[in-house]
Amino acid sequence: MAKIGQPNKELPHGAGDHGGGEKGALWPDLGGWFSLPGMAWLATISQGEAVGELAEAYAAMAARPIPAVYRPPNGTAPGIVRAHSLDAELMRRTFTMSGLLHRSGLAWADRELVSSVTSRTNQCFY
Amino acid sequence: MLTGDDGLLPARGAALADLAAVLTSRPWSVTPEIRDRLAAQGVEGADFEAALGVVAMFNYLTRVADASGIEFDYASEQLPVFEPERDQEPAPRPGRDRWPVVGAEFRTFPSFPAMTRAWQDWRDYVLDSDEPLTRRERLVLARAAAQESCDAWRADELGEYAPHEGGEALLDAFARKLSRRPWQMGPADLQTLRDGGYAERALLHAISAVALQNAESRLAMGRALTSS
Repeated sequence: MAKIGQPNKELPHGAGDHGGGEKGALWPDLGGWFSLPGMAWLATISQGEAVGELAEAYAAMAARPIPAVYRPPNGTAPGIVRAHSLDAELMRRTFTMSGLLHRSGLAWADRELVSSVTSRTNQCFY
Repeated sequence: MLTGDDGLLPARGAALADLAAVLTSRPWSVTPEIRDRLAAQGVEGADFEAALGVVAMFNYLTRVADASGIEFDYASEQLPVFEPERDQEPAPRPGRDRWPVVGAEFRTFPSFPAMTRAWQDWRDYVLDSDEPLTRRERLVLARAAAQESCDAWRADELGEYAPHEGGEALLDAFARKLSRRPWQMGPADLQTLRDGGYAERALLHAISAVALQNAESRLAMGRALTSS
């Protein structure tokens, strides 16, 4: 593991899967940022470790009426939601907008096709 | 598969795929023919606006995914595994005199008032806040993203936000890569900003500002088709 940065004073001690480095988590307990495989590059706070406004935002996200296929099989919040977890208000505003698009009246299959082609064109797995 | 020119798709799907592919990769080159092809398949009015909204939203979400390095949440045993082509070259940008000029009135969803309000609330927070990035830093990022999207009206509106040396130059370079080559983003791109003094929450806002401007520019260029 490579040390890749400095401790982030903004985050609560031990809060979340603090991403950074080669798809790695950051662990302030180890005196700096270290990478672990399988985690984001940007610091995130998981739903299980969220408190206050962030916990409320995660709960609101989980309560949304979305198709089961959008829910990760491990029961946690989707990575794209976790990516916004350093700012609960940003998470709320972003996914309010995306939620309204889901209720726009355009058929689900059409939305899936458009989003899939957009992602494919941008060479993105999301 | 799903590249926007898949001959196996039915006509309605092929027209939607074409819209998404062109607006994502070459937003400056969307034409009334794309709109008319969709209208012939019943995708017009509110449905057309909604389709534009989905393209815009996913131009935001994919950039957040690529810049933050989130992992794939799902595994499908039925579909082939998607392998991104990281060496893909972006479409060449046209000269400045060929950029579309699309005003503020086309950056909304007239068929969906609630969506317009939500978009504006989101946009205000991302591009008009003063922490953890300053408003000026956000608009430096947005200016670069608008230029990379060949969005003449927005690029002109943000003309005074050319980057100064130092941190703003780092933000400008970050915004240009995330706008033009999101599939090539890596952990070093965020680390460069960290080394420049930007804290982790500021990085999230930098990503969001770039991604949202890319989304807005594509919404505008698609919506402009409704006026011709």
